[in-house]
Amino acid sequence: MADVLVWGEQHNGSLTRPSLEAFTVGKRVAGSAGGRLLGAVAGKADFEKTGAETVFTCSAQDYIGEAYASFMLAAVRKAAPAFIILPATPNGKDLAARLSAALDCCLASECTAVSQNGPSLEARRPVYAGKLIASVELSGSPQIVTLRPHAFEAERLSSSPTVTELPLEQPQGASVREFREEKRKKVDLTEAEVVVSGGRGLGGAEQFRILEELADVLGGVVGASRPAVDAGWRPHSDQVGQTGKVVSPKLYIACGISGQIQHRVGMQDSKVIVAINKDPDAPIFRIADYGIVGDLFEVVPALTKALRAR
Amino acid sequence: MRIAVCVKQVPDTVKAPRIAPDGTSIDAGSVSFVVNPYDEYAIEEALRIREAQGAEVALVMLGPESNMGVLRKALAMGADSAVLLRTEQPLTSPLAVAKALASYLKDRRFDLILFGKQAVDMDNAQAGILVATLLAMPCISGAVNPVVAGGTLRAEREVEGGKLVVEAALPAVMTAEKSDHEPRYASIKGIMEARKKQVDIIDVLLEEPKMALRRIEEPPERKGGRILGEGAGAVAALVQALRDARVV
Repeated sequence: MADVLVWGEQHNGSLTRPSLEAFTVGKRVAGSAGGRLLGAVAGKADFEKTGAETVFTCSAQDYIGEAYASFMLAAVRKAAPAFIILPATPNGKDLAARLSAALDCCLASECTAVSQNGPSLEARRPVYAGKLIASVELSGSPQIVTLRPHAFEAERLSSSPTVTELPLEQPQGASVREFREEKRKKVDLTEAEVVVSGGRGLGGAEQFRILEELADVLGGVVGASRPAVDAGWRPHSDQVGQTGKVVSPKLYIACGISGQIQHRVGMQDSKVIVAINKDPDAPIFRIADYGIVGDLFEVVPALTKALRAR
Repeated sequence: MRIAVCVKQVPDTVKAPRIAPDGTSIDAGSVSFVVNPYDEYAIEEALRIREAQGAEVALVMLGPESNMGVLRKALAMGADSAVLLRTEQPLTSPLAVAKALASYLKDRRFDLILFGKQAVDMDNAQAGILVATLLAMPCISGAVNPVVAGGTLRAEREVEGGKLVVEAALPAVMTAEKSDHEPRYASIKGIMEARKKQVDIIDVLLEEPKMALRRIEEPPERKGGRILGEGAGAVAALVQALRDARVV
């Protein structure tokens, strides 16, 4: 019997979207493997959305890898899963690696496709900054995969799981000193469903305000291409591209971005790409689903206004 | 204070590398090799700590003898010594790689072990965390601004809504995210001195991988779409298209 254990994250009591995607994949793999779906989530959340039979939980606290690993290992000992799935968020990737070493098993990171083939998971994952795709086959037991956010659909799952509380050990060696809130950041760029991104065409830091307004209307976040970051208009943490972050939102709107390959590899897996640029020959138009040729200082506010109006 | 920085040689990924005929690796002839960019940030942090409070900085690289040139380039940034854990085996299993590194690092009394967050060829982002777990050391991953004081390492991780400042008791491991601390260029002096610095070579054997790399291929090409129009006049059409695509 090949059971599947999925680790999920919650924010203010709601499972995050990448976690729901992970549970969706977990349910599919459990179904094809003929096993149960189990969950592990720190803190209380809407566990009925996991679709799992049992959910292990513990008290919520800021992420310290050592503590979360002890919780997850306790869940693994109880559940003895064949497959373990986590979202490839910063914490998910950190936790998965700790489990891999502790359980002496293999881990395929940031997969964009996963299927179960007998005792093995097979997965596809981007390599070389997304320029190539690798196909891997896992062996041994258990096997761990982390899933790239938004590479998988989140289905509406429903169950009445048994909830089992496990202790969260305080680790000896590590602790959280403080949390420095940065109000400007609602959600991590890599987890956002909508990204409105600006490039050289913006011309300055102040000008990004129109992108922030558009992002607000869409419930998204603002990203930037490398030239905009190098010019000091946006912080490095906003950078999308080969030397920044790789994002895969439902909607990516590139404003004043020419679309060189180094930027493209950071956003080419977005579901829908919109490009706004005054240069009709800009390479970005070759991968955009929809494009508008024009002055972004006219088009972006007009788009924000039109979206607000509905 | 003794600091180890683990570094990896990777292809320079400006262009997509060509795939080798066997379909499971890249054609090494089609690329040039460099120090993994994230590892350069790790080296930079080690050198800054040395400048601030004194330390010995040793580089550790796992790979074939042909990596020596890139290891010397890394050394030219200013570390004190380097060791090549020599193997001709492919480095495709993060766990096998981590076990080889951990085996070397164990009992060498490093206070701090730094890694880059991930290697830009395989993009696994695992090695540093695996090594820390194998050595039972605390690990702060994807972090910036490390500060060592009073027997602890303090560093910042980006999380939803802000930055988490985490402290770990030494000996500890950190994997470095890119930061404002741009890695220094090797000076001519640094390059000359690197030629004379001590580089040990130790032969190692990696365990059998539990993960097989079956194939590497180009991603499916994304088909371009259409230009809806010019200027603000095209906005209405865009909004409709986005509604039809169910993304707004």
